[in-house]
This record gives sequence, structure tokens and C-alpha cells, in this order.
Amino acid sequence: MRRTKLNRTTRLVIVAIVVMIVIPALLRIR
Amino acid sequence: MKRSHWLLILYLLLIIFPVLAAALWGSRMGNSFLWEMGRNCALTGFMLLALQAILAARFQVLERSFGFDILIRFHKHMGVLAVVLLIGHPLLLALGGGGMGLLVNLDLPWYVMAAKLGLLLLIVNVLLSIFSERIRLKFERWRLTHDLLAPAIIVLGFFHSRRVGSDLRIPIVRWYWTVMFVLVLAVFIYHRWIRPWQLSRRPWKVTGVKKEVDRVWTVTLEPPKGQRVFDYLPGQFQFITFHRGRGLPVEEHHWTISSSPARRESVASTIKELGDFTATIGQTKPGDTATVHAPFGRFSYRLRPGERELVFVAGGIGITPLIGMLRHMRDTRADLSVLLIYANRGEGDIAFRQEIDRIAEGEHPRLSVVHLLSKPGDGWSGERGRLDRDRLKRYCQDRFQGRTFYLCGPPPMIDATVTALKELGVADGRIETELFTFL
Repeated sequence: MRRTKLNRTTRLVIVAIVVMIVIPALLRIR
Repeated sequence: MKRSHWLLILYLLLIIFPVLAAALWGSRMGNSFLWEMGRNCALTGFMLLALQAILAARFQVLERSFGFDILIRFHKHMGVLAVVLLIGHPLLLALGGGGMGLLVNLDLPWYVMAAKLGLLLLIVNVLLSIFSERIRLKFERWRLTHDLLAPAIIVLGFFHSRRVGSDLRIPIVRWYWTVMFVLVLAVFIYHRWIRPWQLSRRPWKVTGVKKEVDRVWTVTLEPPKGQRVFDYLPGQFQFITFHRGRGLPVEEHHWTISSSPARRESVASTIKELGDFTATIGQTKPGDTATVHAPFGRFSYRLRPGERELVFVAGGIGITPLIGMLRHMRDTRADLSVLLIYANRGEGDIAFRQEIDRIAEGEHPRLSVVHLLSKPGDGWSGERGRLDRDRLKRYCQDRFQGRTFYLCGPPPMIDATVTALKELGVADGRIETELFTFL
């Protein structure tokens, strides 16, 4: 069902964005 | 991989590019982790905001891959995420060494105050979008506010970041930032001004206005001279702006196409009087003109050509995409079995009743119909009550495997039916729903 897919996609995008905020920040303070 | 997957990867890459580039080529000035997080929140949050304009601009390539309703839901989710990140930006900077003055002082340089104003407007914009129904904000008013606030927020954010963002001193990030800014403003102007103007130059003509049942009207439109009706799938919808004069409102709304695409001379939408605007729909007259932007939507049996046994569940005016599909099956002599469960309040609310009966008399499709009434009159001998698990089981004769379900109606009914179907063992992939409201 498309609504389930939407929720899954939203979660995926949020996780990807959080990872891409945290990891580069860690890299830069090294 | 499907095109939608590629588009999603592209979306993520566009958003995270500035953060990645800054991490790779930016200076390491010994800032705290929180400070760096705050900066990354701004880079990502602003890119998310910028891409919002593209998500909502009704581009066919995106619409075909995801469906317009899904894109708008996603747009809303991403708006909330952007607000969270952009609120996090000053908070993390303050905690990461910038000091609380950054949050509370008002005598800061203009480019900081511009960002504060932008953030305030963004919060207002998102709250209005989430609560528009609850505070009974009229659709047109909400849309005007949204259209004014969104570009203002982007402009304020852009000038703030160009002035103060240390990562934007990296040439590739600066270029990328500027190109995205110009691109999204261009998309916005195209979507809100240029395309409507182009469409209005080729107006459609109203050829029929027919009352179906109480407060439900079918409006038929004919394309401009020399133009054919666009190709559409049964079940898709169209955006219509009626130009009727006589002091009647000019607003753009979307309605399901209830006509069959097998008949190419005209296109019809069946509209229920639900709000301020639709209350005037019966005053539309043949000869009035309209602007049409279509087709949109992914709710169609034609998108699942392998299916042979379908169950349609309609609640009230939710019949419109389903009658479009039934008419198309009839016109193309489709070899399909369809069970239609059609819920209404009273007998007088059943739209298209005779036509559905006539389709059921034929062989294409093999249609059986269950009318379910929540408030039937005394003379009603058919099914009564609300659609629940037991009724679904009975109507489907406990046979759920191999059948595909198409549900359209009020959201509470659809949600309850989806839950019931899942409990009865129907897989997610076999339930298609039309998200009825976009806001």
C-alpha cells in the first residue's frame, strides 16, 4: 500500500539525513 | 531499480551535498561538536526547504513515479523535518559556544535578524499547514498565505546564509547554493504564475451540469477547439478553475474524473457540495469556461494489469474514481470480476445507482454490488450499518486471497477498512487507497 511506503520512505529519509548531519560533524572536529 | 528509487536517491544527494562538500573541503577550526551539528542542521534544513518547491510543483515525472497525494504528504513531512532542523540550528550554535545571546538578543546584525524572522515565518507556515482544518482556515486563504510565506522564507534564509555561512566560502558550495536558490525560485514562479497563464490561454468549456443526487453534481467539460481530451487513466483526477463570472468565486480545486477515458469527446467530474466553494457548484452553467490541469493520481486498476478479481469499497462521494473505472471496464469490455461495496447514509445519497445496476446486468465487468446504508429509511431491505470486519468477511464470502482492494471514501472509513483487511490477512500490496484530503 502506498501509504505504508510513504511512511517507510519518510523514516528512511529522516535516518539518512540525521546520519549525514552527525557523521560529517564528527569528522570535522577530529 | 525503479525510477522512483533513483529519484529518491537523487533527492537525498541534493540535500546532503552541501554538508558532504563542507566536510570534505571545509576548514577545521576546532569548533565543538554541537557547533558543527548546528551548522549541518542549517545546511541540510535549508536544502530541504528549497526542494519543497520542486516536490509541490506538479511535475509529471515526479507525479508518475509517486502519485500527487503521496508527494504532497511527503512535502508536508519534509516541511516538519526542515523546521526541526532549522530550530536546532540556532539552539546548537548557542549551546556549542555561541552563547545564549544568539537566541535572546535583538541587537544582532541584520543578517541574523533576517534569519530569525525567516524561522518565525517558517514555524507559522508549518503550523498553519498542519492545523488549517482544525482552525477552519479556508483553503484559498491558506494557499495564498503559503504562497507568500514560502518564497519569503527561502529569500531570507538565502541572504542570511550567503552573508554569514562560513561553509559558503567554499566555492563549490557557494555555487551550488546559488544555483539551487535561483532554480527553486524559477520553479515557484513557473508553477504559480507561468503555467496557470499558459493553461488559461486555452480554456475548456462547460457543456453539462447534471444533478446526480442531493448536493452531488456532475460537470462535463469539452476541450478547446482543435484539442483532444488528454490521455488519462480511469480513477485519476484533474485540477479545475472555473471562470463563471456572475460574482462566483474563481478558485482552483481538484476533483476525480468520473467519466471513462474510452470516451474522448469530453471529461467529467462529479462534485459534492462540501465546502464554501463547492456549495456554488450547482450554479455552474453550460457555456462557462474553465482551466484544466490534468491528469494526476495513481489510483487506477489500469496500473495493475495482471489483476482479475477486484473489490471496490466506496464511501459516499468516494464512488467517483470507482465509477470511472467501472465505466471504463464496461466501455472496453474488460474481462474482470468486481465486487462493489458502496456505503452511504441514506437511499437518497446513492449516486449513479441506476447506472451501476445496468453495468451489473452486463458481463463486462462481472459486477456484483452490496449497498450498505448507515441511516436507511423504513422501506430499506438491504444491508444496514457501518462497514466492519464481519461485514467485509460476509460480503467477500471469506475469500480474500487473489483479490485486490480499491478503497475511496472518508479517511476514518478508509483507515478502519484497511485495518480490518489487514486483520483478515490481506497483504499491504493488495490494498490501494486514494488519500482523500491533501492538507
